Amino acid sequence: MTKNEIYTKMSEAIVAGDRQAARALAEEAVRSGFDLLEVVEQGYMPGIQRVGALWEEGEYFLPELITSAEAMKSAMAVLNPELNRREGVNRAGARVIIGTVEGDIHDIGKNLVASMLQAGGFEVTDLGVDVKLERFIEAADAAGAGLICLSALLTTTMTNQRRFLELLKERGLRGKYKVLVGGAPASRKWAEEIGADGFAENAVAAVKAAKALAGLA
Amino acid sequence: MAETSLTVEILPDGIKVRAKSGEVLADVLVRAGIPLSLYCHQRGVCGKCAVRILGGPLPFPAAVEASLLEARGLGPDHRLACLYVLCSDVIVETLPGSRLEKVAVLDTGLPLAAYVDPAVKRLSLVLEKPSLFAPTAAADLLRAQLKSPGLILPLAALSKLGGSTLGPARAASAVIYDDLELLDLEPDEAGRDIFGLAVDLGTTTVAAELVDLRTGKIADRASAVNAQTSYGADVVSRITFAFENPDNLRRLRTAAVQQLNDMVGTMSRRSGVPRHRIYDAVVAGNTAMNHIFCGVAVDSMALAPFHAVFSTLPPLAASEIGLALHPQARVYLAPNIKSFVGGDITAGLVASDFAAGPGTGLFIDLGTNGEIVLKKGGEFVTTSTAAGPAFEGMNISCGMLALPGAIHQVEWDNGFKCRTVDDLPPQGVCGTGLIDILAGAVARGLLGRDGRIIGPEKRLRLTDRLALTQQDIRDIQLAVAAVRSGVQLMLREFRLKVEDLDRILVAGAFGSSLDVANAQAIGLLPDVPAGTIVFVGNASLSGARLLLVSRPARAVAETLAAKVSHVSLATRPDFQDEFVQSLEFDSYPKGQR
Repeated sequence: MTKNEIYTKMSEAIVAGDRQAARALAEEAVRSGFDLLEVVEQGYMPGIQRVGALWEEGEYFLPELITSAEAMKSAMAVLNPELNRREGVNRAGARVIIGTVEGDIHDIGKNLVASMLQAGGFEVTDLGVDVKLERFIEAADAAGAGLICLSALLTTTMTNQRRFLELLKERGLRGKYKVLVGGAPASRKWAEEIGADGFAENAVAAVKAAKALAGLA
Repeated sequence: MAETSLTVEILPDGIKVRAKSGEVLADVLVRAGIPLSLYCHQRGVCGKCAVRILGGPLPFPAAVEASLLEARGLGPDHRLACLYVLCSDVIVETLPGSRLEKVAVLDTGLPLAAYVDPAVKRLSLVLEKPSLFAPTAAADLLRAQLKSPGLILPLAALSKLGGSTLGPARAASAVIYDDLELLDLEPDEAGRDIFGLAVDLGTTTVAAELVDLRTGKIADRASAVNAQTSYGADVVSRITFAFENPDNLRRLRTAAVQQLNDMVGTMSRRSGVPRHRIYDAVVAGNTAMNHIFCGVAVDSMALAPFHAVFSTLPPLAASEIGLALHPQARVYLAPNIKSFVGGDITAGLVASDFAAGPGTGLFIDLGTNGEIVLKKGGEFVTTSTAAGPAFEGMNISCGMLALPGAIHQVEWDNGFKCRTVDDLPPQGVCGTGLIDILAGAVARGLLGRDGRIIGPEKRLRLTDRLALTQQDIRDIQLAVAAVRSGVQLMLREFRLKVEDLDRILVAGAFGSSLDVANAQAIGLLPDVPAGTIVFVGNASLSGARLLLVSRPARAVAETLAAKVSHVSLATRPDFQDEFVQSLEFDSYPKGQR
């Protein structure tokens, strides 16, 4: 099998959401002494990008997105420690803090965004649901994250996205973090109105937006 | 006198029961299970409990009793059971006109009936005149006459007692609420009609019925799109609107109250029943709707932990709410279940007699919020799921409500064969049509179980003009999964399997035009044998009517509402997995999961 054939198989494993295959191929790559950065960039990343495209075309839905993200995570669980060991540096991606804002307990959408961000190479800290606004700042500070993602499912709790941006301004921290908002009632217009840096209407769009904000796209 | 045991033989039932001397015959009959009409609560003033004494003593009747019997044209061997004190064996025949009448509860589905026993009663009486020799206050005479020393007398009624409205004959009708409060005292010739108002205060639709409280029959009905819709389509947006400032809460409340007043006006004109003949109203709505209706702030429902201000309330004054009915009319709110599930569901449960019997049962209200109640013996658990408006045809590119011209039944015969409401040219698809289409498309391989439209066109074409898009399918998929994952988690809560369900009651928008097999094929309804699933229609409105005509049903509703426990799906760790698995268009899995 040529290298390109192996990369194609990696990509296919992600598209198919085949966790075992994704993991086995990663282990094989480690054993064979492949350039693991190239494996990530040319093998697995094209797979998750294809998944995003299939989602956008309406071919893929939540279950497919979740299984593919899981497959990606299981491959990265093999590759990341090896990369860190071999390169001698922490190849952590851009760091992201994510959570559902206080007053809201809905988390399926937020979990999916977190998964896809992780699959897309981000280092994600998920604070869960009903997260106090101060917690986002503390966690970003502790993790050295530059991007904060706020989820809200209700029009009533969405107002806490606005309050968060006001809080950042009050503390003079607005320039320190990029803020991405999402959730069923949020919109691009809303993001602009409250002065957020970006809006994403689903998990695939969130990865694109996050990459753009992190200067990776 | 020592209590001696004696025998009461009841005809035409042919029952013999033991009784003690000194007991009142009415009590013995009720104990024997006879649905005796005790309209005036054994005060001996309505004459409705008259029976025929075939064997036994016939003591001389008092003047009031004699005139009541005469008014019913009954012979000398008749007596009022509520005044008849037993002192020896008797043979008694009950009369058809002395039994409580039954009235059908549901419009569709189960053949349930309830006894007409409303909270509001009208009693005809000739007011005793105070005499110079026994200078008792008129109000005390009235209380004595009604055998209700504690009767609450509002000022409006008191002034009538003193004034000239009742005329020299002093023949009056006392309208009494819940056996403890006088609502009004009217000249008897004013007529004996008493009416009530049953309301299903839905987020989307408001439906009302004008009900004759003597017979339980519906005099007229009206329904309309909720006037609050202009402030927000769904319940969360209404809460948000009210949350923004107190004026908005007032606007929402006024919209609902005015709309009901308008509907009452319409029904009053059509039926000839004047507003002031409506003495009682029952309102069944979800928690947010009934809070707003009362003008109670919903701020606490806007944010986690989303709690309500009240679950049950004692009857309110219609005048305080702003309803233009009789000035003293009362409003009873169907009790909410905890903070989350509203009185509309409680009303539906009572109307469909969901709590009865030992077995298991599932109650599903398929609306924008899919409410689910599971019963296992005497235990109940409920949850609400965010099904969204897809089943009502909303958010679907060619969706519509089940109005004339809506495709509501679809079969496959070399292509989709669509039937529309009233057989008009197709305008769009309603919920039942969507379910038929999806089941048909999956069966024919046009649609994958994962919801992917197969084939290059990426549309499910229905007619020349109408087609479902991939996005439409995704929205329905989410709605189905919301309901199904809710059902699955309720079952898990009680460690039950789908196969354990003895019956499933389906309430809400769909009605009986929903094809059960198709709904099962795509996983909306559990896979149970035919006949297990019963459609109960707008059970909330039926329940409101039941609570209006049957005072005992109110106690049942309050007890049940307090007994049901609530599970919040979003906080369950297994919800996400269950939800994602439920996205597949497939029948419910067998066995416990």
